[in-house]
Amino acid sequence: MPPWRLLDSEVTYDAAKNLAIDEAILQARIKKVVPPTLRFWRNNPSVIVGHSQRIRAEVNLEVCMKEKIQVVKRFSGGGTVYHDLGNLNYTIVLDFDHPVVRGLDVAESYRILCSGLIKGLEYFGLSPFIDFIPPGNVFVRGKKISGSAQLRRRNVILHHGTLLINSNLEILKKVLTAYDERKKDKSTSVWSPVTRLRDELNRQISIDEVKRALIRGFKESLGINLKKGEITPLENEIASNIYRNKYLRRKES
Amino acid sequence: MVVEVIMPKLGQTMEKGKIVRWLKKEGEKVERGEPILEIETDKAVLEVEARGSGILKKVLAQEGEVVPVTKVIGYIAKEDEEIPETMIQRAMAELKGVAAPAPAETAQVTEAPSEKKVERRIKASPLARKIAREKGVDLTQVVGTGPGGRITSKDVLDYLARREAAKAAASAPAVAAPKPEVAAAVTGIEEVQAIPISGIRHAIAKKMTYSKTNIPHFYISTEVDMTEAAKMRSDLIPVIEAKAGVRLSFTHLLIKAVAMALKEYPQLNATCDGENIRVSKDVNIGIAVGLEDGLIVPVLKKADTMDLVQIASKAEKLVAKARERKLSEDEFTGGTFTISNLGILDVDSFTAIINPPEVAILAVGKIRDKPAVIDGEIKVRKKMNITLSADHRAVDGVTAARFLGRVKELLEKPYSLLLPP
Repeated sequence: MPPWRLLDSEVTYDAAKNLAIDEAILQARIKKVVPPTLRFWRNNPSVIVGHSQRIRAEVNLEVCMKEKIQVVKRFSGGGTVYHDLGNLNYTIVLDFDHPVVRGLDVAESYRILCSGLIKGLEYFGLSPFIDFIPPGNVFVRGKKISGSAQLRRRNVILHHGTLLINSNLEILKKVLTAYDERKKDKSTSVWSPVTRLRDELNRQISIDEVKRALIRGFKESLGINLKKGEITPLENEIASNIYRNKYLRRKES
Repeated sequence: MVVEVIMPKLGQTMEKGKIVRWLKKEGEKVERGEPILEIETDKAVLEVEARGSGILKKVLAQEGEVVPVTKVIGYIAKEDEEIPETMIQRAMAELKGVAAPAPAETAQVTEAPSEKKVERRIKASPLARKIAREKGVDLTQVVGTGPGGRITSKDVLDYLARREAAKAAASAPAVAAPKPEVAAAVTGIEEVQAIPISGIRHAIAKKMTYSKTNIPHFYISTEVDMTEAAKMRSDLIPVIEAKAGVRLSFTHLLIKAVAMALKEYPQLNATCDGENIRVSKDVNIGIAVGLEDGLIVPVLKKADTMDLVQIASKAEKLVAKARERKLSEDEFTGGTFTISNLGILDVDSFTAIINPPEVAILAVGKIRDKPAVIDGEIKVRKKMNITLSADHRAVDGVTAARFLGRVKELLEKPYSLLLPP
């Protein structure tokens, strides 16, 4: 199998721009002008709301305004999550009939596409568990450490997920209504106690160290080779358009 | 021609999807292959493409609604085409819900006025909501069995039981307090790996449990003399191989015989949901295929319109696709009768569980040489046991027996199987 492209250069920490880049990679893959891709990225403090959710029901907007936390609605499904630079996001873009996922159900595809992350966590000596109702949530000792969601368009799957490394959990609990006793009834996000890699390993850990473990994990569990690459000019163009048309227009709060 | 927009079944275990956004409005032009709506299932947002070109004439389900797979949610038609009102009514009735018995608690409950204001609410009883809230359950993931697909507290508890069992079975013991029955299984034999029931197996488990619990099964068995059929088949094998590149199997003969018999006994070619029996005009035969992690039943559509060669050819392709898990939606839905053949596995006879919403299933055993008395002499004949399981709400014993007798007759005098449909 030809190697996948590895996008590791974290060109921006703006949540909306990063989502636009993700979508641009999907579009480029639909046009078949880029190989299957694994990408790592991070966001400045932001709340990312699931595609079919209502922002007001999921986010404490007053806290976000006060703390200057960006609020964005993503294109994939699932619940609402908090990102900051202590959280590492990964994105996989591949064809629907790529050998790794061919013939699999949506829920089953989560298991395979999260397996690299699971393997990476295992290298750290942890025993992660992946749930399947809803799919794509990874737990360590009963607490959620990673979630993921997908968008499928034409015959390409975009799967992206989070990994809490050393995020600020205080803020996380303040911005998500799922944690708010008075507001959580309105939320459709699945509440879960969370944990971070630094808590499970009981030490400081660098983003680079985590990326290396995940890269190794994905290579091994998916049986792929990775070749470091860059975002193509076409993808940058598509991303700019998406950013302008989709995210700038929809300025929430 | 009116084209239906349906909630697609993307994968064997998908049961429902939520409409996230219509990308086209009623009255807008659509092109075949163009995405017309976004749905969400298992946290994946999927774009659904139009199956035909024309105008999106009618939208039956709105954003935020959760719809079971294969239900019609809209219609595309040409500019001057009218969609029959009966078609629309029927589709809307299907969307309104399964005629499942209403549990007592939902009948007494009235929704608090404030809840009605929040438009995209999922239909669930207050008790169900309370439990879901307390246990961190996403109501969009729970299948509702109350009227109109409403989620009852029992539905939430069932969902929780499954989730807990899965978690406890598959993770380290320190994680969650497992339920007593599951704990026993987990602490019993250390070497055995506890596998949560998920994916295909989960879907089968649900279906079969529903079937055995709700359908009053009765069984009729008979022994078929396959000597003539075996002779005919072995003569035909090289001919059909040359003509269609496929090896004629006993299952193919069975499909042909069953399809012919179902035309004569249409009551067995029907679906039943507990309230209504719908006799189907097409004979769509499901062929049970066993895979390592479960059972898949690809469907051979309109088998009554095919001759033996066509059946052999199409069935082979379907089974191969099933083994590679490459079946399209059309190929694993819409069955009206299922055949399960365990003969190759040396099974003499067995009784199969009906595949709802079908009303019958035929279980086929191995062909064995047995002594029989023919014209006063003992001869060796090839005998095969077939057992019909039927839904007593839709079929009675006499009809079932006559149908089975006809299948037997067609197999024992197999040359009718060669006639064009």
